[in-house]
Amino acid sequence: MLKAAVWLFWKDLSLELRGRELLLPAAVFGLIIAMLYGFAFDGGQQALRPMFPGLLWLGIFFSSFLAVGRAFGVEAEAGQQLLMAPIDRGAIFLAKLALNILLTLILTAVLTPAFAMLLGAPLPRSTGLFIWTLVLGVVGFAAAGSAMGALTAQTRLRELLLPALLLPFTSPLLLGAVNATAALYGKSSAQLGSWLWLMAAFDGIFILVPLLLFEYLTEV
Amino acid sequence: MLEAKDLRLQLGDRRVLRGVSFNLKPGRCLALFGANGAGKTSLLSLVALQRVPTMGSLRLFGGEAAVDNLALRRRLGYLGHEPGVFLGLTGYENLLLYARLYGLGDAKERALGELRKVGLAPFRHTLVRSYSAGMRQRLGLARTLMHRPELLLLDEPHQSLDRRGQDLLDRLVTEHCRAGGAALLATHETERALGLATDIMVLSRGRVSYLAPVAETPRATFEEAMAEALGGGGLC
Repeated sequence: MLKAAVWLFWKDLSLELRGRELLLPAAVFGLIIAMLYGFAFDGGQQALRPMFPGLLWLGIFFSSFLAVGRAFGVEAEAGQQLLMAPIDRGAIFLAKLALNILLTLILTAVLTPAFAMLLGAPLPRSTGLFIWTLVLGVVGFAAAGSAMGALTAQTRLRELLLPALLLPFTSPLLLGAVNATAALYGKSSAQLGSWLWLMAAFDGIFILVPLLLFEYLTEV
Repeated sequence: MLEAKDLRLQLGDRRVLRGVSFNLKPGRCLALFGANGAGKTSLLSLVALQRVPTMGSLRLFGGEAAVDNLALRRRLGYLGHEPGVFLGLTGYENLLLYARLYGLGDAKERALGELRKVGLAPFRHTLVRSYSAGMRQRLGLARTLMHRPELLLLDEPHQSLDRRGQDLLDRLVTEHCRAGGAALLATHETERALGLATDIMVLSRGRVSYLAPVAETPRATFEEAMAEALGGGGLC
C-alpha cells in the first residue's frame, strides 16, 4: 500500500505544482482574512493581541479548507478510474492526506508570521511547543478534510455538504489548538499538555479510521 | 469468463436493470446495443466492479465477483465514457503511473510501448490538457490495454476517434480477443460493432431483448430487434 501511496502522492504533487489550483488561492485567501481582521476589529494591535490564538486558527482553518476541500474534486473523473486499479484504496487516502498535510503546512508557515505581524503578537513562550501545536492542528485538519473530501467527492451537494460536515467535526481540534496556543501566550501553561493530547487523539482517530474504512467510503 | 444471471440494479426509484443474464467466453466479443438509458453503462459498471447489483449473480473468471477483490480488478480493463487520464500529467506520466499501480515490472518500457502502439509516442511529453479529445481517447485505450487485461469493458469506445483511430481500436480489440481475451462493448456505432463483435445483445428498458451470435443473426432480424429496442426506448 505504501508504494502505491508514494506513486499517487507523486501524481498529486505534480498536478499541484503544474496547476497551482489549491495552494495559491488558499494562501491569498488567508492573507486577505488576516488583513480584514486588522480592519474589522477596532482598537489597534493592543486590543487584538489577546484574540491572536483564535483569529490565527480560524484563518488557518478557513484558508486550508479551500485547499483540502478541493483536493479530491480537481480530478473527479480520472480519480474514479483510480478506483479500478488493483491497489488498496487506503493508498489513495494516504496520498491525499500527505498532499493535504504538505499544503496546509506551507499555508501555516505563510499565515502564522503574517497574522503575528498584523495582529502584533509577540513570540510564544516556547517556540518548539508552538511548532508542535501548529503541526498537530495542521495534521488533524488535513486528515479530517481528506476523509470528508472523499466522502463527499461524488455527491451532488458537495459544496454545501463538505463545510457542513468538516467544520463541526473539526471543532474539538479547533478548541484544542486555540487553547494550546493561548496557553503558550498566557501566563500559565498548566493546561497545555491536555490540549495537546486532545489534538493528538483527534489526529490519530482521523488518520486511522478513514484509512481502514476508505474502501467503503469510496464505494458508489 | 463472465456469467451474469438475473442481474438487477435499482438506483433510487428507477429500475435500471431488470434481470439480465448472459455468458461471455474467452475469445468472444459481445456488442451491447440499446437506446440511451437502456442500461448499457450500468451493466458495464457492474461487471467493472464499480457497483454492486441489487439482485442476481455475477461470476468473473470462475469466481463470485466482489468489489474489493484486487486480483479481479487486475484482470479487467475498463474504458468508460471518459478516458480516465489526468490532464495535468503528460501522456507518458499517465501510463507510467498506471503501470506502477498495476505493478508492471518494466513500467517505463511498457508505457512507452503502449504510447507507440496508439500513435502518441511523439506527444509523450505533452500535457494531456493539450491533447485533442481523440488523442485523449487513444491514451485512455492505451491505459486500458497496458496491463494486458483478460476482459475488456468498453463504453462507447469509438467516440471522439477519427476513422484511423477507430480502425486502430477495432484492430486492438480483435487482437485481444484472438489472443484468448474477451470484450464487452457498449456502442451506438452499429456498422463498426457488427464488424468487430462475435455476439450481439440488445437491451431495452433494462431487459435483454435480443442475444445471439453475429453469424447467426440476419441483418433484418438485427434491425427489427434494434427498431423494437429504440421504439421501446430506454429512459423511463
